Amino acid sequence: MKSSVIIFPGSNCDRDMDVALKKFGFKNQMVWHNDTKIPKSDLIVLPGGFSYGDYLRCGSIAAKSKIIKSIIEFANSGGLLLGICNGFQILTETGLLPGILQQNKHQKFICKNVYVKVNNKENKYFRNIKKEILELHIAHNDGNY
Amino acid sequence: MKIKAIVTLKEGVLDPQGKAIQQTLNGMNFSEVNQIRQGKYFDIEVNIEDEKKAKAKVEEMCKKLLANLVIEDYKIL
Repeated sequence: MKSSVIIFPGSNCDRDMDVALKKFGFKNQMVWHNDTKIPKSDLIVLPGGFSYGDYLRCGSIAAKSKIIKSIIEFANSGGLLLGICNGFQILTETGLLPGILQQNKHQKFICKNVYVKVNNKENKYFRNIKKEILELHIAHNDGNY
Repeated sequence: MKIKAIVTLKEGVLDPQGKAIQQTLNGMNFSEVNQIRQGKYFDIEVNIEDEKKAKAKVEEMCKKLLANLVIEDYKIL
């Protein structure tokens, strides 16, 4: 399996992703936001961090990067796309996902483990996962979806 | 010419920053403050002389980048 991690100015979890993906057997490549083409990939990851210092709105500037057009094409053709933290905020700003992540209700940075239930086993993201409940880590200031 | 635009949160959208500022002002004895909504102000200098055209261009900018119309409104001054 091949993966690509996109790096934006201010991404700070990009190298962690590279290590994690390789640990799980991915042949990973790092892709700069100013590139226009993505190498052939089964999975594209938009890592967390503070792209463009969270200027304007979280992820809004990164969502206008040159690489985004290829990412949208990749997603629309059925490719697997993973956005973590700021990466997810970027995806909502591209319009790929409806809605937006607002600032947390009480101006608190939330850092904890949360449990989510897999409701749709047919979904290709979860088809091969046996667990019904997943424990995921969250760390964000703007996660109010 | 210069065009000014403001972006504000839509009515009903939670504004934690505005709330924190309001509570602080109340704590500073500005008891008359009932609510504060924080917004953004943009001073945009464009190389278009025609005011109508310049404003139309800024409106396009607001729609495409400066405001997220899911939660924000814009106003060109």
